[in-house]
Amino acid sequence: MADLEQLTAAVEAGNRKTATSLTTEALAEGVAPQAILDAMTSAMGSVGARFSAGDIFVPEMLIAARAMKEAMLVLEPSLVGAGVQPVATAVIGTVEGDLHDIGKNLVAMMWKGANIAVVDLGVNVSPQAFVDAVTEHKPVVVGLSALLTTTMPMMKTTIDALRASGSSVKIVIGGAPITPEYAEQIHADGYAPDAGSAAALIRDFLEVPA
Amino acid sequence: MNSRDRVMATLRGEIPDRVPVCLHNFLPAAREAGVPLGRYLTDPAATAAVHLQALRKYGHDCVLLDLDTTTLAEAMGAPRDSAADGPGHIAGPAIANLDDVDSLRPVDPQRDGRIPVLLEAIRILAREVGGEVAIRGNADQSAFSLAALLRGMQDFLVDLVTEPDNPALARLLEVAHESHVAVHRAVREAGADFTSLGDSLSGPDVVSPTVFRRFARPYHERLIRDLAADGTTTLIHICGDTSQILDQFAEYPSCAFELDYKTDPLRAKSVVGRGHTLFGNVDPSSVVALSTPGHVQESCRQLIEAWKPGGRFVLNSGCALPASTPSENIQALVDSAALFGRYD
Repeated sequence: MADLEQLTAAVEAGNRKTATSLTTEALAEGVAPQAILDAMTSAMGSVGARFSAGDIFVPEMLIAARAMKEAMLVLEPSLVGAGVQPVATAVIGTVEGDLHDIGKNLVAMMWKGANIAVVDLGVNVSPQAFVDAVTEHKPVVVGLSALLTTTMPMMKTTIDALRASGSSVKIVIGGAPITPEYAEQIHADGYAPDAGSAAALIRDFLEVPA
Repeated sequence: MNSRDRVMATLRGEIPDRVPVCLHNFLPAAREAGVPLGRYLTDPAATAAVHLQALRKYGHDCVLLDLDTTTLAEAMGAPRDSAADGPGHIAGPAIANLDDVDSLRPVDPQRDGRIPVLLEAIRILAREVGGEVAIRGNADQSAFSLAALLRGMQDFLVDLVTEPDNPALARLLEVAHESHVAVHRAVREAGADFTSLGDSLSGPDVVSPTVFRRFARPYHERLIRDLAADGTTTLIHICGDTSQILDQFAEYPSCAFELDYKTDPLRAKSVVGRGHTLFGNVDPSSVVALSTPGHVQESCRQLIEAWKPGGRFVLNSGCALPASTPSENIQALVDSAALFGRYD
């Protein structure tokens, strides 16, 4: 019998081969795809919490996300077959002028790890492109990322554009130079100091248990 | 005591007449001078003119001559792009696989990429204001961050934890270090009074203190020692919260650290502020760019109170000021040093 706790542990440790083979085994034994997915999202939840606590760092988070991504390639057809849907949609991008995508990619990985469909607009995204994406995809949350102190003011411009368009989507901001005071100052709905907290934050918005 | 004397005395651990002030202002300075950033980054006469104009306007003690964080990686073959009139960004790796590391060559600072722009701008500044104002020549990314850019950031970070003993990883860091040292020496020869480097990808916002100790710190310490042998002081800038590696900083040979605003100033002063000089660490965005002159001065006053005792302190923002920073706020930062920073 495939051990889902072992799958959780394999994803957490970033052991992609074990994660993939345990997923294959579990599916062969008829374990429900949702239960397999839950084992992986649980792993990514603890990876996020350990990252937020400063116990692990970006490389460890990257290998965990990579392990889940590879196991998901095996799992995905069965999820589709079983009608398992993402719990919500989120839109993410770095604000105009900022080309640095590592933080944004980490948040996107952690959101995917929480079974959220992520529309990744990439880098250097104009306020209007965020507005258009919100109209098209109707996300629950929009994530704005800035790595540079020099591009932070563009977050305010983007939030103002989203609000001016009449959207009430939840807007969360993050990135190395961002502070909670800054988030409040520019009227963001939420601030995540790191990618682990970003996953917890979106679960709060969705009232999804961790 | 002129501005240069004030800064150099501080770097030597002597008490100057007042706290000196440095500006990390290339973006607002280019905007104020009406020079598009694309020109600032490629035309040394424009680069120097931007800083000279800002110096005349604000009267700071130390000019930080910096292009962007892509100068060295680009010179070693990594593709670069930029947002409309924004600073550059490395768009992809210089090597497709770690095993391709031996195709990388150390730079020739006099010829490769935009390094000659940096050097010529420093020469112009040294001719114009050398001896009066301290010239800090920034030698771009240190071995760890440069290696990450050359290899591709995510792949490099994965390599560090999945194959830390791969000899190709050591060779990658070594060729990056060799290039970086050459730029420091060239910057100094061009007329900089001291040099600086950035190594933000090695900080605790990205990797563990253990990874920092093994893969970043040895290159910093070698560089500091090699440059000190020629009488050059260098400064290490790591963005973000460096609290978890302050104890390691304290063990470094004598140098300067520029701390970002997320690092607690009181803790930093008590752990590293005795034998090392601290630059920083006013919040560049929330405070200098987005608040009022009064708030900027209050933040500076509090920081000066914490960091002034015993000297070894140069007031600056913790990182680069945004292009939109109001000039009255920059002036408030500069004026704070004279208002609150006198030692007599």
